[in-house]
Amino acid sequence: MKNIDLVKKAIKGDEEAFETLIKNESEKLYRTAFLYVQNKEDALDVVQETVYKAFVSIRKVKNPEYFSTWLTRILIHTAFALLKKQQRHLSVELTNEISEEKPKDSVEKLDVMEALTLLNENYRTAIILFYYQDLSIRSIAKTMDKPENTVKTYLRRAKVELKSIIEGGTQDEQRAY
Amino acid sequence: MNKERIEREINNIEIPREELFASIDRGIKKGKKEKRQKRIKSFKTLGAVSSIAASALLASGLIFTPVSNVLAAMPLIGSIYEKIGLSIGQELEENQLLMEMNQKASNNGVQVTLTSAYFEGNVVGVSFMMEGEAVSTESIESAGPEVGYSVEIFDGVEQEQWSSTNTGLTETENGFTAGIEFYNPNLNLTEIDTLPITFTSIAGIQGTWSFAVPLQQIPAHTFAVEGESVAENGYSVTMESVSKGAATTLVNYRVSLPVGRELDEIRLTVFDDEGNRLSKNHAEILSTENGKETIHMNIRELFTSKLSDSATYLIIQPEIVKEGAGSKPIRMEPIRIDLPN
Repeated sequence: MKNIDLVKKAIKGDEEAFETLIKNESEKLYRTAFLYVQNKEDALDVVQETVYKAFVSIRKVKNPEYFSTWLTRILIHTAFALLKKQQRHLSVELTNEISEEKPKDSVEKLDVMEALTLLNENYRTAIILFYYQDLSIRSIAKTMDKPENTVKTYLRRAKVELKSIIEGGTQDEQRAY
Repeated sequence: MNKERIEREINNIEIPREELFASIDRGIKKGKKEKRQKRIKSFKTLGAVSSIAASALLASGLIFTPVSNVLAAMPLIGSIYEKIGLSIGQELEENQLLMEMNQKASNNGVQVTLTSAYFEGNVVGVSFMMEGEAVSTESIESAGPEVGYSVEIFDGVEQEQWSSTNTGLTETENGFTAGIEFYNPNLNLTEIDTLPITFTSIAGIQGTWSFAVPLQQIPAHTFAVEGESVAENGYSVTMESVSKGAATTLVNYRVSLPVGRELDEIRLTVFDDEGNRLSKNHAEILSTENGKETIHMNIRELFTSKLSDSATYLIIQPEIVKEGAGSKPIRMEPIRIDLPN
């Protein structure tokens, strides 16, 4: 497989091979980052930081066939780190105003993108990896560092929640699962 | 809900190809820089031997300037901030702008040493070392919180806690090290001169380890700027000042939003004339005024990039991001601000 050769070269320190690999994966990286951070600038920052971290630690990749899994894991950690950082900076004033806003109409339909942001971290990651990145349960388990059965449970519950959100459920209903 | 629908919606996310490739290039560039520094470090022993040889040369009067420059560039204190991944501290460390500290506190068999500190822009950074028989990788991992310690400032008074970035404890030859960046939210950044920091648990051990970090802000060059972008329906942004620090850039500006749209946001992207994008960190709302038709916010935004000395102007691209999903950011007219020489 052509990619495997490139990964092997990159692990040995071939910077051009690394760049080609990343550019081949760039759209997937960007869209995955976007699914977490929901805006262009932050998604670009997440990609930049991911590329940097991958560049300095690629020699640690033991199995070239897991390069993509490894890269995705870095991306997800980076996106969550950014989200956590931003949460800490939420202005108190804005938070107060949000609580005064009218609650969303419970029958309003949401799109998948918005619905994904309402899932918890593990459910969201499981759905993105399974549906968008087309990873097997085994690869998702490796990426998330969780047992395969846990991943299956995440997926099952996430699908139920997602369906409920998209079809007009409220957040209270989601908690029942 | 099905796979096709999810895929279709995700594939609708537009790819800003040029900017994406530019981000990748910057990531690689940063990685190359770090690898180069590591290579320099791995030659440290050799460097020490060379220093002796160079001293002999200096003594013999045969030395010329470039060699002494090389000696000056050798890192004097270990690259703590590089190890724990805090970029502001790392940049200051490279430029020898950190305050080396040696404050110690012991409690319940754990000794904490505050090893360095800095006050750059609105960021107060500290690094510290934790040692003790009970401090181990296992005890850190099994005890909460995730980073391995709990910390508070101003004796834990809730209203006075600053937001922060805390790194997890990392093992070194001399103990476990970590770092914290605290973000000063005050309008007047220099109104306090000491930051009281107290650790309340370390690797699951409860106790009190208190420090007083002297705050001496690294001088920055602050200058007033002019520039405004006004969009329809009451959205506008007015640039007020830029503060060029040793490792950061603070930008002050005023945003106006229509009443009823307070949750919308005007997001800035800043480039210099050399094409460098300043890395965004966070924006703080310093004050809010409610008008009849518009609401005004004074904002201070931290960028964790140093302004290039050779940059002559900045281009600021504001975008209106409306609250709620599905709406695309609306580009406003870009603003150019000239930098003083």
